[in-house]
Amino acid sequence: MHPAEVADNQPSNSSTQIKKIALLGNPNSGKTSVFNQLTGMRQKVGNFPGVTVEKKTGHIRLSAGKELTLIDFPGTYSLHPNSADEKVVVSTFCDPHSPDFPDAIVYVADITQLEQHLLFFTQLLDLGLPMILALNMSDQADVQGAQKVSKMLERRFRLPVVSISARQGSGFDDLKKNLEALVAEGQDFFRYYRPEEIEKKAIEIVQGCIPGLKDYQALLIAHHFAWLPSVSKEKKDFLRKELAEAGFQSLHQQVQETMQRYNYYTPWMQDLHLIGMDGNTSTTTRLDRLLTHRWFGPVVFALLMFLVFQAIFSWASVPMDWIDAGMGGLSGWFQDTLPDAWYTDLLTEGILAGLGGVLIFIPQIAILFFLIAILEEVGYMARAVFLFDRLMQRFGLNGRSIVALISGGACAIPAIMSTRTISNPKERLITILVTPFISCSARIPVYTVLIGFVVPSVTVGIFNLQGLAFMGLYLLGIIAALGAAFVFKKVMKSNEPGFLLMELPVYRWPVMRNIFITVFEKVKTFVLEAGKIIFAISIVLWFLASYGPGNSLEMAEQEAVITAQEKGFDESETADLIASSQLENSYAGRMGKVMEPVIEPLGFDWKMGIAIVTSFAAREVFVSTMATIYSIGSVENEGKIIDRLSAEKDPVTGQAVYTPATAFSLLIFYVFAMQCMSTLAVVKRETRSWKWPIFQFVFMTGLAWLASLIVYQSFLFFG
Amino acid sequence: MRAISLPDIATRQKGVIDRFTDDRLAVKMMSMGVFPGRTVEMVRKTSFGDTLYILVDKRALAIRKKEAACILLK
Repeated sequence: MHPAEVADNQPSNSSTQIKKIALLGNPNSGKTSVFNQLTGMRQKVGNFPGVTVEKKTGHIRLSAGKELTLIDFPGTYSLHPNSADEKVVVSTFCDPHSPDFPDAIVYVADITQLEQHLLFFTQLLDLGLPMILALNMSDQADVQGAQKVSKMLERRFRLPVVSISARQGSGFDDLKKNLEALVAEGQDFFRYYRPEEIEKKAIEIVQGCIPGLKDYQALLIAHHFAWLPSVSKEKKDFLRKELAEAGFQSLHQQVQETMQRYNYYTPWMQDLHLIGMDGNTSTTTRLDRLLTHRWFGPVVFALLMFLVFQAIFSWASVPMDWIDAGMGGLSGWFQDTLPDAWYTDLLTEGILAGLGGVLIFIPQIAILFFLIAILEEVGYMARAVFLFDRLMQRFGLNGRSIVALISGGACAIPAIMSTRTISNPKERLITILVTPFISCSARIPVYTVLIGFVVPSVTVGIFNLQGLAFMGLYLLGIIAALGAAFVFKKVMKSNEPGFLLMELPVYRWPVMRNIFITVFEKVKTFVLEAGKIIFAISIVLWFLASYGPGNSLEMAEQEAVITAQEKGFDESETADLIASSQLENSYAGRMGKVMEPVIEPLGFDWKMGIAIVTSFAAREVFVSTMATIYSIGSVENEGKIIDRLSAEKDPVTGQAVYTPATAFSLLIFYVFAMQCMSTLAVVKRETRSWKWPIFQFVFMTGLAWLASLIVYQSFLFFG
Repeated sequence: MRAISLPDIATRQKGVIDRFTDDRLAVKMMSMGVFPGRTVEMVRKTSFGDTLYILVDKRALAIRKKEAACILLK
């Protein structure tokens, strides 16, 4: 008897209420489109408990005013998992008490990839949950052929099969109707897989130890208990011992099981002659001849990345200027309207500045994710991984890391958020840790001022010396990123051995709806999650820069007024002097002075210390802080700052404070140091702990200190 | 005679998968549709031949040379 035809007539979940539906399928099955079609924009994005695997939840509205919750699980090939994403699926389905354990399943399979996509489907069948099979048709699929396929599948698997097109949005009424019927009537348990003797024994052992499990759940636990969070330590020890005694060889049985499943259903496919159902393979083959070519492939990739970089760099600057001007205008308006009091300052310089600090990143995040989502949807990203896998591997990174590193040149924040697609946790973590070394756009104003100060604007051959210095700093950042990655690769332990077997999906036109939803979700996540940390730190920094112990700020003001009168300053010069001496006496100023012994060997004085402290809000703040300290009201005038820097004399020795040694040391410091609270906030969110952002802060800033020390001291020694 | 493994065949050549030399990798390969009995074609290799672009029954896959070595061909 054909094992798969044995139906089990125990009624399944018809008595329990169906509320939670799981959406499952292989990667590239069109599952995301199905999710978006079923739930619209009413989605909630979070993580599965304990891991950084994205979990999307939404609601399906049925006709009778009923609502179902839909949980989107990561794309999965098998319940014998290969990645962190797949492990989430296994641990959820092995634990009936998990909050995400569903009452029913909607399984999405691409009709052009049916043989492959049915493997995971048959594993889910054995979990005994009511299920609907949604056949997602590629656009060319012929209708008659598709009907034949769904009839066959309905007969073989005894469950509803619905033909849909997620791209065109057709078939979803039918899918909802079937869901309603499922909710009303339930479904009989159809058992597909017949375990071998040794597997039966393993199932018995597991069921004896953990009650209330279906046979296949027990078998999965027998295979994977070692890393399952729902199995207690004692039970793990017990299972390890018992299963070994029974002679259960997990890997061998996994191979046998997969083979058997596959061998049962493939003969059913053979009498179906599907016309025009090879998806888009011939176009894909032709395109890949260029895009994955050993020399042209990397060239095309470089061009694409150049475009991405340009887009973040230049397109984003326009809306960023709007946000900047808008926040500035708003803050000016409040300053003019509200009384001159501490709460006005808090509102304008603390809250509005903090809000601006969050909003300013939105254009860059939106543009980067718009472009990345297109590349991903089209199917190009997998090719980039193919091309650069080996190169990146040497540095402990992943083919996908290259995208993060390049976009880090615009801003580390969207770059770090983009690492979610890296499935190996170690490679992902290393990418997150080293990306901030790449010089981002916020470092440019600092580089401009300091290079303008130390490097003469002369042309040597075809090169402008200042331009060369700029390039050198960028190069230094890249070297630091790759070097650090290499060290981390050697030092960090990995529990998942490096492995690459990746589908190169057929090229498809992107579904714009999916792309806009991705962009919207990314921006929302950033504003809600990282935004609150950035906001809080901004207010703290405002407090540090505006307040000092006791009445020291009032004293400073009075002294400044007296000095200004003595020197016959005009109104704006007096205001600049007051601001400067108040900053000197504030908590931030005092921190600068406390820091002085630490940064003195690098050639920095306490004024630079203040600038380094305030740079934490954003590196470009360095320039405005310098302007305030040196009582140059206007930030716009970089030339004026440069002049002021050259004129600065040490009060004791009378020598220039800003020697080339100091300036180069400061430049190197800005290349390496972790000075961006927004990046740290994003790293905290992405790694789900404070451990990694703190580690990143310490090692980057430590490296910066060391490098600056070497630069400054060698200048003194050789100069 | 030593069996031929997948990385041994030249670009544009085909072979039929016979078996795997490693159970751990076999599970991963099979879950992605790489089964004994299926035809595999070597489409191209990256510059240093470390990553392979293969076609298994019209499905395009990228695989590292090291792991592909566990696939033995008939």
